[in-house]
Amino acid sequence: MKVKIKQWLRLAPFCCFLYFPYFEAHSVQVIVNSSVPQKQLSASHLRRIFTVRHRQWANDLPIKVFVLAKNNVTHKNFCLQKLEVFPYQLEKIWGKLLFSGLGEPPLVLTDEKQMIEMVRKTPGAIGYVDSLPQDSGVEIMTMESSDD
Amino acid sequence: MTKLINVSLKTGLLTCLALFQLTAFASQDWAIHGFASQGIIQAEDNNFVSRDADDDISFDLTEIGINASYQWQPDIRFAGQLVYINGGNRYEEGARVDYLLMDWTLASDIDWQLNLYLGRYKNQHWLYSSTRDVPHTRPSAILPQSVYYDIFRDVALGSDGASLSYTRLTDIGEFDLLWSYGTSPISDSATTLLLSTTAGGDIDQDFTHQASIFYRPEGTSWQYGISLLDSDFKYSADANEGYFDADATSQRVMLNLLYNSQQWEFAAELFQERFFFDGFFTPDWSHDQKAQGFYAQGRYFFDEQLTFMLRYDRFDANKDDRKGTELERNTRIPAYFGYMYDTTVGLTYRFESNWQIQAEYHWLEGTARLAPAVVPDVWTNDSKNWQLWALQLMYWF
Repeated sequence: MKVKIKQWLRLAPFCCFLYFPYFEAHSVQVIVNSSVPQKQLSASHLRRIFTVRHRQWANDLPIKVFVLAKNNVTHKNFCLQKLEVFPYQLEKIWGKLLFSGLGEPPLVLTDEKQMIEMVRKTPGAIGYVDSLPQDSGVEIMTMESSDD
Repeated sequence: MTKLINVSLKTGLLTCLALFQLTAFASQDWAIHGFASQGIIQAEDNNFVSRDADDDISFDLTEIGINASYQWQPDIRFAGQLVYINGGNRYEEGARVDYLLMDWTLASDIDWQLNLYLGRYKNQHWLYSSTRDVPHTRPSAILPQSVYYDIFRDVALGSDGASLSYTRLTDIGEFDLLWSYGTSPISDSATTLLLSTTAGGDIDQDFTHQASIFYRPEGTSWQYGISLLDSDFKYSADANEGYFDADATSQRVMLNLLYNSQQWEFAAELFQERFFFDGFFTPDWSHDQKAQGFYAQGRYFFDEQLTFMLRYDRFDANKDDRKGTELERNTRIPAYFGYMYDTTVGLTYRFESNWQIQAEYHWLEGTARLAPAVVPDVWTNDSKNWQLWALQLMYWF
């Protein structure tokens, strides 16, 4: 029995090898309008912004948050990879804010093309995309590693 | 007459909902949202839904609301919500301003934010208190009565006054600190639900003072919370009634817990509530009692559409007389008015992104959380064991 467990354990590093490239290939990028002063954010800071707990950039510019529909694959990947919350949690938090008067949930956009367009033209905007074409006119927000 | 006013208010609200939905109103600074729901409900052998306990299937489960918010300055916004609610005998039927407030971001930095709310604000201190009338934000149509006692709804829903919120991100996690001070108007029908079916005077709330802390440790899916409540009431008896003026104080300490995973969610709230009462039955009558209660609730998400819920809710009206034996011996009120236990199963099916149907079944023992709270209705509520079910269709935008 012991031998069998050891054999399986030898396979473990290969599983990681198979697992992580998949995530990297579909890594979501956080994008912001060029007016945004912040150039780097941690997952916790990003979570505060998308749960409407933090509403202004350092230069007092209001934060405009854009998201994709809850069944969109990029939205799901963004929630799990970048925010580290489940999509249903985010929806619950927004519903609570909206129907008790404490905040306005993010505006839901139809697709990534509209997301890039809205982030590009809205001062203080933040959003995310799965793939960003060249010369899109938006900036990529660098994410701090979660060890920080 | 009241019925006519309520019908026209309901129709008006529904028309507004339909109009705004057609135009899908939203700009950079303005936003309009709403919800509408209708359900059927039946409670056997008591006055939980129907005052005269007629046992019929009731349509008294209607909740409609419309809200608007306006971002006036980068740091100041206004928000308000109008609701029409009908829960049968659970609370007063009618339209009301649910909240109407100014939200002012006093100061903020990347790690923290401080907000002041002035006006009519919602109770944000418990897990479901702020949106207890918004069907799709709740786990069931009937919330656990130990914590979310429908008879206390008007006083626990929100207040007119001031509220502060401070949220802060630290190395060990995120903290929310909330504080509020205000008063709530109490209607005549809420007075009879609270005190006695024959009470003819008025209750005024002097104040509700509440504070709470929520903590979400970094890198975990848990949230822990503690909240405190202190509230004073005054009863001014009518000259022609048999009751007397009274003063009452309610103080509650509550702990809460929330855990989220991909497939399931766990929520629990545990509290002790002290209730002082002077006067009412005789001018020098005095009473001091500590109630305790809790609920534990699990929800399993089969997929994005179907959710199963299981909950156990327990309330003991007097922690030193949990079975109500002293109550029966001293007052001849049946012992089952000293507690209420509720086991609930529920199913939620979200068949469209903004449409949902929710079904639930409750098995209950005891009647401590039925109306009225102070002088129990022992004739109508004559069953120790009873059942309740509800089915509700809801829409929101």
